[in-house]
Amino acid sequence: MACAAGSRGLVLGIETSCDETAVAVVGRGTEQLSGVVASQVELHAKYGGIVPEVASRRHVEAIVPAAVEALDRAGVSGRDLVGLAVTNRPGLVGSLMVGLAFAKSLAFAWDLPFVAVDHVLAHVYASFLVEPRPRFPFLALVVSGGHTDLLVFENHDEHRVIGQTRDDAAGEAFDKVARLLGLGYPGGPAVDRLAPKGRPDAVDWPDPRLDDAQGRFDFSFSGLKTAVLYHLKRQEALGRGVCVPDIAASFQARVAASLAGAAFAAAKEHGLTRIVIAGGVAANSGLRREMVDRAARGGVQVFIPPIWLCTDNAAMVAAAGYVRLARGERDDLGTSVFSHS
Amino acid sequence: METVGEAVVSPDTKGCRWAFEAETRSPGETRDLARAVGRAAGDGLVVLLSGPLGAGKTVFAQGLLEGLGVAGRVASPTFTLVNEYRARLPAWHIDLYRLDGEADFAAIGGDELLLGGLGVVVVEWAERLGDLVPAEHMRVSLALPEYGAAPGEARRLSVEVRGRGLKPVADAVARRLESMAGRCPA
Repeated sequence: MACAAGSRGLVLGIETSCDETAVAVVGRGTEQLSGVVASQVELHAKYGGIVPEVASRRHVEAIVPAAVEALDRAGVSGRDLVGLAVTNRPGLVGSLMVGLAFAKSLAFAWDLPFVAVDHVLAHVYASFLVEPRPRFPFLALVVSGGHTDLLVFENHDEHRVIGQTRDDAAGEAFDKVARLLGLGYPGGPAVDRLAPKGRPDAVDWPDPRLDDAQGRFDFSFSGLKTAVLYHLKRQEALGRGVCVPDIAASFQARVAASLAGAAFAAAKEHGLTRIVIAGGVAANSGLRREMVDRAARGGVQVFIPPIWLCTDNAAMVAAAGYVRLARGERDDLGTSVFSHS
Repeated sequence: METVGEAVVSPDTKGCRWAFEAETRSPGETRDLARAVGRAAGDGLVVLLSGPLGAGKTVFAQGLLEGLGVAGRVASPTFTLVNEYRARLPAWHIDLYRLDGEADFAAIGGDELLLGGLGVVVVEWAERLGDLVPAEHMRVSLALPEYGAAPGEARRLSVEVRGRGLKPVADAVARRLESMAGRCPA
């Protein structure tokens, strides 16, 4: 039985780099058996008690129940695993520490190898958990509250950043514009819900993509956020009302066109015919549609994970870690955490 | 009161407090002022930035870290909460935008950074800090002008520097504002 279990290549993934405490069981880096994301809502409902939004204490409280539940739902135990994968960078040091210490403890107690994984790279592996899976090489666009990165992936080991934000991340822009418009938090879904009710061409916003000597595929979302702010102030000064759905629709269209445009331009320049999108902003319907529309013009295949794999989760961490574990690699118990990639 | 161009310097309360009012005309000018602060910064400098969305807090923080010698990008820490840098001095860039109050700030280790006296700590949305502020610090409040009252990119800055040890920082701000005052009319 042990042999059969081992051949399933089961990896326990652990993710605590930001606000979510997540644990998942994944087979062979491609088949998700279970995934638990302890959001505040779930925790409040199930475990009760007050859960501070960002404290690493929150991860401490959530990590063991999340792991027990992930193993239960998958119907496996520690004996069935071939190893553990855990995010150790980038993120809040105190939060990362909880996941890493937990992974090390399990690795030691169960005598299993563990590998440390980069959170940004892990996002890309969400696309390996669904069919069709991308083949190397490909271009990856990782867009979330904290990241806006374009990367060229030659293979599992070789990848390089070719574009980044120089100030705010794309998801942060969604959140702050939502705040300016008086919409709820998180801002991305709020803008997305309202966008279909407005005109995407209502306002001509500045392009957040930068293309200069510092970088061909960089972004500045701070300027776009400020443009929305000025627009609102101007309308107010002129005594005009503001059509919030129009702002939401045109802002979302601008961001989607800019991100997708940069991704397709970068793919072309680097001779790549596959683009993988990942991260929380990859859940945005405007960006998903824009990617699909551009791919329909031919020449490039896009890989868009289902929405539950776009936001922070542990299955992507397990999938990313499986590659190294399958080669027999392991990190040692002295491994540390890093705030940067 | 002594007027330096557009900057009003009200010195002194015993050499331990300096206050400046200034107007920058562009993000570039805000960044230049912050760079001068970064160059003059010493261990234990705490810079508290406040002001509404789009006022230029991140621009100020970017300039300050550049002045400290941080190479490469300085991205917004809104989601990461704390970004750490190694430059001439270690530096931490903190954003309280998503935090509720002092308890959350302590939970991310902010109180230790703020009161530790090590390196340089820059805090955005510092108005949410409450009383958790060391005696010696620099406070920069950025404001957007009323619509139509000034060019769109102009910002009002109120700068307050407290503590004898921060005299080099106050001097750097005064020098920078003096040279800005000599610029051509907009």
